[in-house]
Amino acid sequence: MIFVHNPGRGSRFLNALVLLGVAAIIYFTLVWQALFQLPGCPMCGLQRGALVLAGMGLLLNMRLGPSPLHYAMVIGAALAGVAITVLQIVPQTAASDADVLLGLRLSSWALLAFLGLVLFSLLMLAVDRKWGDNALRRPVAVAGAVVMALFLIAALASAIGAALDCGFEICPGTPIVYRPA
Amino acid sequence: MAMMWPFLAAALAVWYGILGRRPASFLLWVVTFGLFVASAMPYLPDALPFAL
Repeated sequence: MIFVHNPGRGSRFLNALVLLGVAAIIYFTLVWQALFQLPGCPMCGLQRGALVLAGMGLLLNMRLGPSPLHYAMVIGAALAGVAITVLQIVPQTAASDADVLLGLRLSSWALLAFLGLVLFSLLMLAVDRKWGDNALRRPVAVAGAVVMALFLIAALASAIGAALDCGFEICPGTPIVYRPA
Repeated sequence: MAMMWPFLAAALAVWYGILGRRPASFLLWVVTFGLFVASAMPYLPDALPFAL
């Protein structure tokens, strides 16, 4: 039993920072797509979805305190993101028309982000073990509330972006086809 | 399936997470995950480009 008013403050602060980073990536991809008027990209939408799913674990860590269940949510979503990103990267290696940022394809940055989330959760699971698992609501500072609100708006903005790209039907995008070498 | 619906489910899960209601948030997280998997199906390749 832990009789501390605000347990796991340090790890909740770290989770807030990472959640802010996740929200920033989602906003960046939406702005990038709008700025360069890129066509609808179902795989990008799925990667954004994996980021939102991973962010939910971080948000629960902030709101309810660190828990193995919340880190498992982050790892599960990040691994799904890795799978989707690898499926997108493999055909792009043969083509050279992918968007590049700082020398890496955007999908490669996404892969690094997902691997970073897995690494963060693994490290926190190893280091941040003393709080156990409970679902008591913790006090959240104003800055933390702002981060959570930004993340909620990022999820809603992703829904609007998906609706603008795809409407209410299956997103118009070609399935990935691998040609034999 | 339209890509919008999983994001709306995700936003609802985030809302319950902000309220501190873990069972509802986690249940919606699982539903959202399933909706994203269903959304991904039309775009996934039939065969992998490498032999396992």
